[in-house]
Amino acid sequence: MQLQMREQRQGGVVILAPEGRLDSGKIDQFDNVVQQRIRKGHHHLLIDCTNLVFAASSALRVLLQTVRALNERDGKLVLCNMNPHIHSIFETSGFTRLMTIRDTFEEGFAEARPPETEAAEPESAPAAEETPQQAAAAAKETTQPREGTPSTVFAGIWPRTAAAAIDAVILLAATVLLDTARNAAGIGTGWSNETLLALQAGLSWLYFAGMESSGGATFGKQALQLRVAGNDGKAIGFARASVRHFGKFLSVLGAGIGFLMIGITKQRQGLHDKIAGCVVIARR
Amino acid sequence: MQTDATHDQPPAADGCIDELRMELSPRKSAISSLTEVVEDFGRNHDIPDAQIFCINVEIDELMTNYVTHAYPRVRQPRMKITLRAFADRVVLVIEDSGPPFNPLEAPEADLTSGINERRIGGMGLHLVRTYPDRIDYRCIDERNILSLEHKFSSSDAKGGNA
Repeated sequence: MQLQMREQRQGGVVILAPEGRLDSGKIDQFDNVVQQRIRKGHHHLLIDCTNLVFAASSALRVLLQTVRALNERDGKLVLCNMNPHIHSIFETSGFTRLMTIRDTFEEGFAEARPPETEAAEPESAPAAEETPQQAAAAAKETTQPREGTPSTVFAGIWPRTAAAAIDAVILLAATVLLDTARNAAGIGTGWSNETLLALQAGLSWLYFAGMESSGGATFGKQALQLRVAGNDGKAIGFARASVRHFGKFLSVLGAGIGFLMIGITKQRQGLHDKIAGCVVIARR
Repeated sequence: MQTDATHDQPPAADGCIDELRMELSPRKSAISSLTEVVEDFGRNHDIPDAQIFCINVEIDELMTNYVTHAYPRVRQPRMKITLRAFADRVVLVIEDSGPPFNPLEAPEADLTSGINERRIGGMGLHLVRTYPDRIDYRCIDERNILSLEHKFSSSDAKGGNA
């Protein structure tokens, strides 16, 4: 079962409203979403517990770590609208002293809001000037609960093999085309096979490292909706993409064990991903 | 710690109105459906929400604890969950096949440190020790049997909604 969660952005605050049961079976999903928002630079969070009926100590662990992370970034985490049972967990654990907890959404929102100067960051500006009350009302009108933004999904072996096959065909076609053009123009008719091989290697390097560092995906990966990113989820530069590209040669060695690692590692990383500190993410 | 060679279950329950028994292979993903079943049981027997909430927290904590610590060391991970309703109390009995583990002897949780010093470990067991009115742990034939009793007055039963 998936955790349902609504999300709103308002005046520089990311408002997350988990619904139903935030038990230990669902806490990782919540944790992933929260960590991802922090990585993306959202440091003012309001957790609206209006529709939350259950939580356990695993939620306290995640909240404690989140508050620590936000304190380091001059951010803030506020909880509001907790039911008395969930509040009792915070009290029994001595967490009411550690967390900022407010009774109502309005109080919580006011507390979570960044100082005026900071609220000017582009992505936090709401499209229309809406009061939080209006926004909350609008959110409640949505009959079907919106699924929370999915957490990062790492791409497995099969889609990546398919993407690699497409790239191989494209590179082959490009090589043939260039070769034909070169012959027609009478350039390098006497070039050795080694020179041609070196040219081909250079071409594939530019293709992979170039495309994966600008936009994160080769044509093959675009077709399979995959993208290469750093461990932090951010785009990678040409140097890192190059390390990853040449790392594949190491992955080939030893009967391709470096590639098979994709199937067994937690973040679906092959040896070349590990070396370059990269992950391949599936867009959904 | 008590041991009782003749009974695997806690002493005969006089005045037990109804009993719910579940047996499962512990998984974190099972918690959501378990807590729903417990809530239904509570509603059917007019057990106040507060006690049902505590029981669900205890199930979550003990199952998570088992999956984290006992699972790798147990060949056949099983957990039996029994819920007994009485007129003035509700009893949760959790029986597992893990290595002996007495939650009453687990180290105290850190409840007072500030945000950066606070150790998070043991918070779940702190809740498990704090919520019940009576706790009974026994270890019989390599099974842990933990019985957690929650009292309520029947006047709480109605209108105990959150």
